[in-house]
Amino acid sequence: MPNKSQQQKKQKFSVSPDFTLNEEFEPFNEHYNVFGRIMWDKEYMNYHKFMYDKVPLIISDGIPGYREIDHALAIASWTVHDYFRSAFSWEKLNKPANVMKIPEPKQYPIDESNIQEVTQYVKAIAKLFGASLVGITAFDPRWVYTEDRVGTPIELPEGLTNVIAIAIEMDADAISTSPSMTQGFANGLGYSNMAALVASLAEFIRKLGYQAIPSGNDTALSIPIAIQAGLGQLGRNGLLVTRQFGSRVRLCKVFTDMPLLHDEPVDFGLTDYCRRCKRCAEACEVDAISFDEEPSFKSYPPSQNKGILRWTIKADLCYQFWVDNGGECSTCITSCPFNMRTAQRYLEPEKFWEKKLEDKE
Amino acid sequence: MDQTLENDLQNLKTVIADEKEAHKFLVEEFILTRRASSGQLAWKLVSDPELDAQSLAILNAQILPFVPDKDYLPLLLKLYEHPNASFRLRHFIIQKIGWRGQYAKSAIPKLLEIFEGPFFRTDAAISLLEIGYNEVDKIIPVLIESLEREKNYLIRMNVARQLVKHVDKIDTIVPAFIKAMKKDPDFRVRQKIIHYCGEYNIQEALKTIEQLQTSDQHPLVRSVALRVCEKLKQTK
Repeated sequence: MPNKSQQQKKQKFSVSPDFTLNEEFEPFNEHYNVFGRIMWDKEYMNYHKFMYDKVPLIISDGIPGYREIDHALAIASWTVHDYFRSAFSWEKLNKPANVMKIPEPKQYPIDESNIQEVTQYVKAIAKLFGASLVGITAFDPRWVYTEDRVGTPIELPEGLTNVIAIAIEMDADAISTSPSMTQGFANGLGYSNMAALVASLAEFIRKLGYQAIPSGNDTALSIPIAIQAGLGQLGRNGLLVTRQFGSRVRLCKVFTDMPLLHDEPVDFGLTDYCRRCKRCAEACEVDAISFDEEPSFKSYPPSQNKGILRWTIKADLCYQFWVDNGGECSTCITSCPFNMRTAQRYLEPEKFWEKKLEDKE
Repeated sequence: MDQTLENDLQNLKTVIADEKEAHKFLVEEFILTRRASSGQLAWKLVSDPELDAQSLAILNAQILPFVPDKDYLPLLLKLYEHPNASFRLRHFIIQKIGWRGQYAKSAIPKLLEIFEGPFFRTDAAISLLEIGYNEVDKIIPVLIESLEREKNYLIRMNVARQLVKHVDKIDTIVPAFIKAMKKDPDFRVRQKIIHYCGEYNIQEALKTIEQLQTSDQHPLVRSVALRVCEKLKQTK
């Protein structure tokens, strides 16, 4: 039986993969996150301030990374995500362009004899569709939003038992140009890839006769799901940190009732690593990341949920910088030593373009 | 020495040799399975005066993040003193000592010694303030000089972050900020200082920031200046 100080010590460091929640914790309402509040909360510092508002003032053809071309690339990279909205449909997609009649699905039998094989197929197929990392965990209602961004209550269908958590690597060169507009391409393409991936994986599962709910940032918090599915741990930067790519990933997931085997959460010592490493905090343009030695229950509601032990970021300041920047910022991703294992910390936008234009020749 | 520890030390040296060939993070993998003895293993390693610069860098990156708290600060100090520690590694070590904050109070004498010396004065000054060293008046003039002279933009950003905490010393800090926001060669430093002026309501900088809305060559700096200018006018 651990004594009191041992218990306190254990609790102190359980940022992830085990979460330490206190009595203030309750499932989060997406209506209150930054992207919800900018739409409705008149008291909010970022009310009706949108990411591209200042672009006409910012665009400067003499400055690589902030030219019309960079902004157009960033916007275009979102195309699949922004226009293929049925990618995130909770129902089977209808009226395909393919005129061939597809037979109605019959439920594919899964039992103890083949569950391991089916699980391997699902992971392999997610990778065929573009996943870089895949893990599976049990459905955990704690992470489901109570309401969506516009305030509609979220009620997932009965019977969902598993979540397939997916990480998609983002373009290493483009993101290294952060905070430039050019890095927005890495984010936008990640989202577009996510849309194509989750829609396709969901259709695969539906074709085998099971429910599938594809999800990007909507419906539930992706980070804790990814942690429980063994993709990584929670970093000082408030993002999932994977061993393979750091935080240079976009997360998505598919909820399903398909029987699948679960992965174990991983602990590669990240909490201790982040306690001693403050690279993301020192690089942040607006000090939105905590320099505190220890994680805590400190939070900045209502944009964030309460009652979770972690290093909490100041999301409001972060978003304010996005508005000033005319696009997202990824500096906390690029400055992380785990990102730098497979990418570089900073690439001048000018050098990025030199490299890409050379590639074309 | 305990036989298991001796075996682990020899194995660790082999893994470090492999790691030097190509980064595979083998040392981290090795140490994660030996967390309890990692402090002792690191101490043995760093006590070897023959250990080369690359091995020391691997030790810093892949072992030190995981050693127990009680061993961490003594190891940083020992690593700093190692004859083969590179200039770059020493810079990181001083920074990491500062990042320990209040837990690194025992390192203040060493940091003061570095601060008085010819190298790493800025790093030591920043770390002393991170730890909570109270003779701020001794440190501020060095930081003000560093804000202009340090070559690494990240160090200048760290300098600004420390200086703004002492903005009550307005006569010295604000002129330095105004100079840096006009002349710093890196747009990230200029934007950060302007951002701080908004956060800390530094009205004395308003006129300069107003000019920078249109005169700065970088669009991000102009954009941040625009927002901060509006904010400062509202809080005037």
